[in-house]
Amino acid sequence: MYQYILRRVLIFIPMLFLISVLLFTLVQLAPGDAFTGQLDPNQDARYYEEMRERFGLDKSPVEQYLMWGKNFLQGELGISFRHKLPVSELIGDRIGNTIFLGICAYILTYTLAIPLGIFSAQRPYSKWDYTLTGAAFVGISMPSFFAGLLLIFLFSFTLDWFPFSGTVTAGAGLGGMEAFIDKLHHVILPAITLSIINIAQYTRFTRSSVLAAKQQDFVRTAYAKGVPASVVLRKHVLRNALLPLVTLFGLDMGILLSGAVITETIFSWPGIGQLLVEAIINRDYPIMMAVTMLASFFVLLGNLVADILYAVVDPRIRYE
Amino acid sequence: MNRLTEMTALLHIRNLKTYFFGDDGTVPAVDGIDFSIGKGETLALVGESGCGKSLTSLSVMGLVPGTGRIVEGEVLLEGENLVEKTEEELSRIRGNEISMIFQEPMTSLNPVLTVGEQIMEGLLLHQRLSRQAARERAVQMLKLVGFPRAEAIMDEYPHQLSGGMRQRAMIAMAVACNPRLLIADEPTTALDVTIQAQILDLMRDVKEKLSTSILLITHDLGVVAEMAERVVVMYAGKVVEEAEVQDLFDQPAHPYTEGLIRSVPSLDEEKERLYSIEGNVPSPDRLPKGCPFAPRCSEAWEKCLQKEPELMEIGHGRRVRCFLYDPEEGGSR
Ligand SMILES: Nc1ncnc2c1ncn2[C@@H]1O[C@H](COP(=O)(O)OP(=O)(O)OP(=O)(O)O)[C@@H](O)[C@H]1O
Ligand code: SF4
Ligand SMILES: [Mg+2]
Repeated sequence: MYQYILRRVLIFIPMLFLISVLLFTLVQLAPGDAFTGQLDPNQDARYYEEMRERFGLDKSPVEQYLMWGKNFLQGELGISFRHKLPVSELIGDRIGNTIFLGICAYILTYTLAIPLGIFSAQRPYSKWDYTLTGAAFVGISMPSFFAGLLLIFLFSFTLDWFPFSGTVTAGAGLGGMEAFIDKLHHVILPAITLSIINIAQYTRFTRSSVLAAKQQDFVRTAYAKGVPASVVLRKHVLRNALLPLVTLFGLDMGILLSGAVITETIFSWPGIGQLLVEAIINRDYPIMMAVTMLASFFVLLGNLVADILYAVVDPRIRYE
Repeated sequence: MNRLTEMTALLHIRNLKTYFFGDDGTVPAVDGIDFSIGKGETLALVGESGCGKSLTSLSVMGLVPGTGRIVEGEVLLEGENLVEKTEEELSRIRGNEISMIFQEPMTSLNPVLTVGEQIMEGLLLHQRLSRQAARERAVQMLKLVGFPRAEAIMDEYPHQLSGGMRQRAMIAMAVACNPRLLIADEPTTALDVTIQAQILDLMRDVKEKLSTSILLITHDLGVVAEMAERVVVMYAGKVVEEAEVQDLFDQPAHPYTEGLIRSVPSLDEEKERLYSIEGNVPSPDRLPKGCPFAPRCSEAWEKCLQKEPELMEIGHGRRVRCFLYDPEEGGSR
C-alpha cells in the first residue's frame, strides 16, 4: 500500500510538468501581454519596454519557461505584474478563504444529500420521493451563476437575511466567537451556491444506490438470519450503498480546494478562484501559472485520496 | 396430513396461498399448498422453474418479496401459526428456529463484512452471547462445515473464498443457532459437480449431528434421490404429487412426475435422445382451464380440460392430483 502511494505521488511530477508546459504554451499563444491592455497615452512607451525587460517578457518563450521553471522549483512563484507583490503572498492571503468555503460546501453536501437520498429510497415512488426527485432535477440543471444570483436576489436583496459579498462585515472589528459567526453568516450563500449541484446529484446517487443495495441477495440473507429491518439498513444496505460516495469525497476535495471560480467571483469571495479570474483578465501570468499548478496538484491529490479511501473501506480493493 | 400427525410433524403448511398484486392483475404464484415436514426429516420440493418453490419457502420465512402477500392459509411451526406473527416475532424465529441457505453463494454473503462477523451476527442476536463466546461458537461451526483453518477464515472476506467454501460458510451461518428447520433453496445448483457432492455430504452430516429437519428445494432429481426421504412435486403453484422417495422413483403416479423422471439423463441410456417434457410451465397469471398440466399431458382426455383435479390420497402415504386416479371421473389407474 505504501509503495503504491509512493508510486502514485511520483507520477505527480511528470504530470505537473506536462501541465505546466501546456499552460505556458497557452499563455504564450494569447496575443499581447500583461502591459498591452494598460497602454496609457500619457506614459512614455519606453516605460513599457523597461517593464517588459524587467519581467523578462522580451526573452524567447523557451527562455521564459526555463526561467519560470527554475524559480518554481526553488519555491519562487514570481511577482504579480498587476499587484507588484510576490505571488506566494497573494495566494497565502486567499487560500484560507477558499479552503473555508470548500469545507462548508462539503459539509452541506454530505449532511443533506445522504439523509435525503436514504429517505427517498426508503419510500420509493411515494409523494415524498417524487418531490425530492423533482427538486434534485431543478438543482442539477441550475448553472451555479444562476443559482448564486437567485440566492442573492432572494436572501440578500429581498429578505436581507445574508450578506452577498466578502468574508466579514467590513469595519465591524469583531473578535473571537462573534467573528466566526460573522464569517459563517457570510459563507452561507456562497456555500449553498457551490454545493447545490452536488447536493442534487448525490441525493439521486444515494437514492439509487440504496435502492439497488436493498435488492441484493445478501440483504435477503440478513433478513433470513433474523436481523431487524433497521439494522439491515444500517449494517448491510448502507455500508454497501455508500461505498462509492467515498470516492466522490476524494474527487470533490481536489475540486473544492482548487477554488470555486464562478462562486467566488459572484460573491466577491477573496479566494484563489477569484484571484485566478482576475489574473486571466489582466494576463498576470505568474499568478495564472501558480494558481493553476496548485489547483492541478489538489486535483491529483484528491484523486489519490479517493483511491486510497476506497481501498480502506472496501475489502475487495487491494493495491499492490 | 397423511402419515405425519400433528404430534410428529415439525412444520405443517395448510392451504397456503401467496399472490402477487401487480399493475396488471393478481398472480396466484402459490395457490393452496399443503404439506408437512417431520422432525429430523429431509423433504424435497421439486418442480420446474417458476412453479413456486422458492416462493413457498420465502412464505414460510415471512419474506415474500415485492408486491406478494400471503392471502390465505397457515404455516404451523409446532402448532404456532407463523402467518399471524408480527414482524418482530418473526425476526426472532428467522435464523434461530428456521434458517435458510440460498442458491447463489457468490452474492448471498455481504462483501464488506468478514465471514466471522456474518456468522456471529445471528448468534449475538438470538443467543445473546458475549462477543467472545459468539466467536468461539462461530469457529466451532466453521470446523463443523469442514474448514480446517477456521480461525483464519473468520477474518477473511467472502471474495477471498471459492464458491464451494462460501456455501460452506453459508451453511455454518444458517445452522449456528441450531435451528429446527433448515430450508435450502437449490444449495448446489451454482456449484461444480464435485463441489456439489461435497456440499450434499456436508448437509447430511450436519443434519445427523444437529438433528435438523431439512426442506430441500431442487429441480435435480439426482439430488433428491441422494438426500430426501419424502418428495413433494409442485406444478404451477400447486402440489401435484407427494410420495416416499423410493416409491416416487419406482412408480411415479402423476404424469408430470413421470415426465420429470424420464428426463433425468442416465448413464446406460446414453444413446437415446434425452427426453424432456414438451412445452413450458404456464405462467401463473395465464393458467389454462382444467388441469394446468393438460396441455402438456399425453394422458389427458376431455375431463382434464373442463375441471381441475383435487389432490387425493392413493394409499401408502401418497397423494396425487390427477383424474387418472379418480374412478368417479373416469380414471383408469
Ligand atoms: N418479486 C416477484 N414479483 C412478481 N412475481 C413474482 C416475484 N417473485 C416470483 N414471482 C412469481 O412467482 C412464480 C414462482 O416463483 P418462484 O421463484 O417461487 O419459482 P421457483 O419454483 O423457485 O423457480 P426457480 O426454479 O426458477 O427458482 C414466478 O413464476 C413468478 O411469476
Ligand atoms: S388430470 Fe388429466 S391432464 Fe392432468 S395430469 Fe392427470 S391425466 Fe394429465
Ligand atoms: Mg427458486
